[in-house]
Amino acid sequence: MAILLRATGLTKRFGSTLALDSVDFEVLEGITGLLGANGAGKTTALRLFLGLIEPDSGKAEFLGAATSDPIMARERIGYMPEHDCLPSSVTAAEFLTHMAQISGLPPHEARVRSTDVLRHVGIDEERYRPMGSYSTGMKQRVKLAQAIVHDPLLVLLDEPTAGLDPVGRQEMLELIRRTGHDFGISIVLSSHLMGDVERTCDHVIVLDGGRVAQQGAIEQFTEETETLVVQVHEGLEALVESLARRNIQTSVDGASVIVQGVGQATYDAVRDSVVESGALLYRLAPRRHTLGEVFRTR
Amino acid sequence: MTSRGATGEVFDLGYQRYAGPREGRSRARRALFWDGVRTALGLGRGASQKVLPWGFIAVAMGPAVVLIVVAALASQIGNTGDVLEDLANRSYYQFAFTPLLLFASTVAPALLCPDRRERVIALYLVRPLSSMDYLTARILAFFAISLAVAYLPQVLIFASLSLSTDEPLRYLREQWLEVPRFLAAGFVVAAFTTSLGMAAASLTERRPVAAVIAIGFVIGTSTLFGIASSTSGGDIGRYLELLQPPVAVIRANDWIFGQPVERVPGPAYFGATTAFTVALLALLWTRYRRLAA
Repeated sequence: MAILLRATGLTKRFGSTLALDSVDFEVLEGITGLLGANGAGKTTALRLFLGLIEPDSGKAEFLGAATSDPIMARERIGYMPEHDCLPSSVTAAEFLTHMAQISGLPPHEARVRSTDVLRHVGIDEERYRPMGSYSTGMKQRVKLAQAIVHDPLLVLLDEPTAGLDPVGRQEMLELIRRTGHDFGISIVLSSHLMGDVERTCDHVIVLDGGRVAQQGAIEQFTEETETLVVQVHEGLEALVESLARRNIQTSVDGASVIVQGVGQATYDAVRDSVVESGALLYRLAPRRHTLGEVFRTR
Repeated sequence: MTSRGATGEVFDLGYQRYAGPREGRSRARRALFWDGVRTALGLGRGASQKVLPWGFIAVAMGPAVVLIVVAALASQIGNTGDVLEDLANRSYYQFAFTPLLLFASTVAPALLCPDRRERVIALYLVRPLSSMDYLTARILAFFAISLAVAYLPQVLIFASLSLSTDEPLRYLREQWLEVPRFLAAGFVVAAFTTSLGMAAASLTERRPVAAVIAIGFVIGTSTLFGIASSTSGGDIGRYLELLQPPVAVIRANDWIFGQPVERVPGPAYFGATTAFTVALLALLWTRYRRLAA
């Protein structure tokens, strides 16, 4: 798997504030989460890779070349900022065509790409409306579209779910997953929301106070536990009683029953208990640690 | 023709990778330039965004239309006369300077202010484009329009005067020197008004505020140094006139057309106009270097 970004001893200071403190990490193909609280150094790292600011020491490399000459590198990188950045009086179709040309595409190709990419992010007929009339969710989609309209190798997303309601957030994360896995564009997802990173990313880099606290594949952190999670719509209490009669240790977590053990006998006992109790089963799976649990215990 | 029972299939090709040409920085600069031209003229925008630019262009063209009509009427009588020729090319910018100044003050900020207010500039600066590329493309876009607005009336007047004589070719031979002069004078006026409008736009995110700053600068410096010039007297008083932008630009125009210039040598007015233009561009450059960082 190719290394797209590499930070080596990357340090950046703003006055007396040390934003990044000799940071080393690599970003591979796929979707990588850059996770950290506000002020952890995420946006500074993105700005260094885009060549918008110079490091005080160390190197920020894109595809093995230092981004000290960022102009050409930016042809193959996309960026979606956290803040609003769309002109309100312009239509999405016109804006995307313009941004594709600004990324170096000829006018005809820019028009074709603009239409295709807007369709992929779910903006169809609305693309001929001025963007000032768009909802927050639609604006986030156009922001993502402008970041990928020139078909970059890598796109940097800064807090892409900021300001979205739960449904909008879910749709945005699904779109990011599609962009990374179906479109084949690698992604760095900068977020302070652990759930977003966990649900979307293949890898994670955790920044804390300008230093790398953890990095690796998500699976490495969220390895399976020796428990099963059983989710039912109805009959939770009857199910727990039925499992207890079969000497299966359980605990209740919201609408789920956590069952100790993952052997064949446990699966059989769960099956029989579901039938006996009449519970409406809709999910049965080995339970994984969440990133939250991992970082709380380390 | 479709045969009975024929079936069609719809293929979802899904996301397609782009394998076409990438023209890099030069395409980005050209795209920004043309976007600037369209924005300034309100092309592809609503009617309300066309009112200001086209209104001022019409006002800037007004004196030319009047002169052309007068020239046509004079030619009916017999002779256009030297006075009319003087009014035409040599003095044109005395009439047109104010509309050109208002055009630049109110329209040039449209190329810079909204990009900062709506933070679109953050998207430009992460593309294959430097902040100076961005600024240069925007300046050139407005300068090109200003130059066109400055030259077009002059070209029409020159053509009209030549056609209103009995021997147009002879007129062209005798008056050819006027062409490089009005090209140079138009360049000086357009460069000054463009740099003023753009520099004012770099100081604020609001277009109306930028217009007030630009117009206020001209009125403020003219009033201040006009009073200082008339009260000081002597050499200091005469040279303080150079710090009044409209006086400097119009006298520089007179000097370019070989007209007698009073009080201060003609090249000094030209130098003052150039210094104003360079200083305003330097201010603009400094503001955007800071923004990029």
